[in-house]
Amino acid sequence: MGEKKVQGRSGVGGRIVKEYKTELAMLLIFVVFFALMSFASPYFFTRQNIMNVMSQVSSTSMLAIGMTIVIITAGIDLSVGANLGLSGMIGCMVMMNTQNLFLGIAVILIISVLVGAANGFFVGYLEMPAFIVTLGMMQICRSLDYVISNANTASKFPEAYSFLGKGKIAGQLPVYILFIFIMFGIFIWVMSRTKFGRFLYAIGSNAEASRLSGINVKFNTMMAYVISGLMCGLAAWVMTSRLMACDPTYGDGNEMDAIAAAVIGGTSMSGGRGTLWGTIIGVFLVGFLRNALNILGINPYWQGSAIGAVIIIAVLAEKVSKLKIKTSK
Amino acid sequence: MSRKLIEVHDIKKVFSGVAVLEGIDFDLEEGEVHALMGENGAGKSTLSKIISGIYQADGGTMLVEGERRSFANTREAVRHGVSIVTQEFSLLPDFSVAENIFLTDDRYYRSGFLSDRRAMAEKTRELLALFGMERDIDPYEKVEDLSVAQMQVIEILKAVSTNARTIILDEPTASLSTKEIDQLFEIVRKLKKEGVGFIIVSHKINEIYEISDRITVLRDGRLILNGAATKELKQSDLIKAMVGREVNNLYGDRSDHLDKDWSREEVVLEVRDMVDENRYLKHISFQVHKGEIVGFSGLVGAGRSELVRCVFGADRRTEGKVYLHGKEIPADRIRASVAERIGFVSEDRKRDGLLQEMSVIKNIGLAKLAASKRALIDWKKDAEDCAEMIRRMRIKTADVDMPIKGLSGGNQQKVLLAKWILLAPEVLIVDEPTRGVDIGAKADIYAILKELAAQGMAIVVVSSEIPEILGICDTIYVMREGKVTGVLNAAEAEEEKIGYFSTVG
Repeated sequence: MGEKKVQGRSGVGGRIVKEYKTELAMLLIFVVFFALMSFASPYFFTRQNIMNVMSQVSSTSMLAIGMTIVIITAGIDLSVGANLGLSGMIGCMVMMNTQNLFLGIAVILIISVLVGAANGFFVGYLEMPAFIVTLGMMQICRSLDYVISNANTASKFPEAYSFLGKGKIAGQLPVYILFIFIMFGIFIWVMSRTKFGRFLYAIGSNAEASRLSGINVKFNTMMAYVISGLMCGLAAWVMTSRLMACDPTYGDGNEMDAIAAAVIGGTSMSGGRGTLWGTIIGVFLVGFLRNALNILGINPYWQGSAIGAVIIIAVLAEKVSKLKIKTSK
Repeated sequence: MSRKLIEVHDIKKVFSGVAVLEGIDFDLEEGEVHALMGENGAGKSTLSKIISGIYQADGGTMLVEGERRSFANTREAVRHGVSIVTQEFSLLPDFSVAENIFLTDDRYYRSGFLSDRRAMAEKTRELLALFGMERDIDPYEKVEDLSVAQMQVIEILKAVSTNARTIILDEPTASLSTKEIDQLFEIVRKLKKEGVGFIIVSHKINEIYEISDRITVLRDGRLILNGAATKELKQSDLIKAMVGREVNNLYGDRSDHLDKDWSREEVVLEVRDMVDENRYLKHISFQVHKGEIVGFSGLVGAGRSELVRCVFGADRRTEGKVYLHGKEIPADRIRASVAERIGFVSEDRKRDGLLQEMSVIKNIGLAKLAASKRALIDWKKDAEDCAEMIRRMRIKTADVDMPIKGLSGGNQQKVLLAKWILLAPEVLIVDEPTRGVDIGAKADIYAILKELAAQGMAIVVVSSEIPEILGICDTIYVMREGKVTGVLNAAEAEEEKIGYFSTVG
């Protein structure tokens, strides 16, 4: 009987709590976990360890940005890991052979965007199921990755290429970490403050209602996949520049980590709900959990169980809170 | 005095600390139809869900055929002869009619899991024959190929097949045509004679007077009227009981419009020779003048929704042109229509109107945002717009930042109207303006539409409710099988004429 109450709007604080309920809950879990681990191991809360985790989650976090955006439109992009591999490989081979830094980076980004656009065209314009389209695209990209590289590793890039992956600002802050946070910042802004972002939520919530409201559903859906593709290219850039090499296995299985991060952060697989704030927490929760298990000397075979449990608990928590809303009607 | 099928006493139900039902007494006798009425949110659905085992009561007692029961789930309720047909059907679209009816019936599974299709089909045919429908529905037909009315029948047959003594129908006529409603009531009457008791949840007053023996009214979770005999209950008293205040004239005053000569007014919208993609519409043309409310009446399937969807551009057309102030609007393009400020509220708000998970404020602002040229969201303006609409449309919401799915049907409908009104449209097309909306909100919506028309907006209303069409429209087009069979102005329009044009004219 909520509608019988006085209408109105709660204060900014109350609004944040309501709108970011899942995210805040995950943040709380993350903080508690972080605090407990800091007591459990003196090594955990050190600059060295945190940098270590950052480097481990760097490519996943980029992919998770695109993945979250695509999932918000009620889609999915299984091709992100393979797209990272393919675009990175083609760009790096071009760079290796031409020793042209900018050409190499441009090729990485162009290929990744093209793959994203192809996904987006099939899903947005031809209205094919995203799961199937991107599953196919994943196979194609990975296969092309091996065909083109002949399973060889590309290396010997111009020295300047290492700037993004190895450079440090003021000798302290790695450039790629700053880069990742800038990307999160940009897309948090896009998703919450721009018309385009609002449209993606609307499409994920109810595509037909969005169409009838005058939204170009096909084009905007495609653009979500284009962004996801672009993030694959950026992730490939970060990764190959950090390692100064490109192996055809790069990105393999990363799509699952990206999906996990988004889901743990409260993004709903049925679309229309979720934020990149949640995804940041999801990325770090998974990253630090893995790291903690290592530090505590637990058999690494347990890592999958721990992360799997977190995913299921996160979804369960959302389900429970949803049930509450439903029955309170 | 016949036997009591259901007797509930002092039922209480609490959702997150709020009592949505309190002190409810209700009973159902053998062979009667007991209507459960009230506005949306009154608790009538909750009560019917408690009786049928979907919800469990937090207090009170229930007797089923004299035995004290409380059902943990619907399966248990069905076993004791209580079945519910909810608005959202529980049918599996890919399964055949027979498979749907006997889905959970162990008798039709050999050795526990192999289904006996032929026996199922045979029994289905028998059931259909009981109601003279064996020629309309084939047991092997897939449910997705049936009409809504036929699905309803299948749901009832499903209940009958379990030997249900009590059948609860939740808003059974919401999407049925007049003819289909008659058929449904025929079935109800037949089963009544065999002693089956019906609880019908509804807020359609005319129908309830036609079919029910007794009426119970709930309001805000309280019992207002307990099983009054329909024959002795005055309609005005019933409305008063439901709304809590007197609604004298639902449609407001329209005397000044009755004999207005609309042809002297400026033509805002003109549609010429509209033919839809499936060529069901037969070259339909009409005009809407400044300040005029044009209504489209007719049976379900007459082509009314198809027509307005083609006009707006939601569906493709094969022929036809739409002009706004004499300027042609490109075909099949919603965005072009929206850019020229034509608004469209679709028929089924759940399916293609609401963004369920999104807040009231975001739902209200959507069309305006889509039509605007700006790339960024203006939070402050959005909040202002939303506040203004909430005030103007009298939308009742606890918090504009909460998902819209928490609102009642009437308030959701108001939000969908507000979404377009915010655009200040030249033309507003509303398909079923008050479906699933309670009486209080209905009166509000009519008042809003009239006010908009008075301000010069051209309005097109599609409705299955003839009183609604008569009550608010200045010009009425009656359709049948894709053709316009009659055009009436408000002064000459009568229920009988509309009925004539929509069936034989």
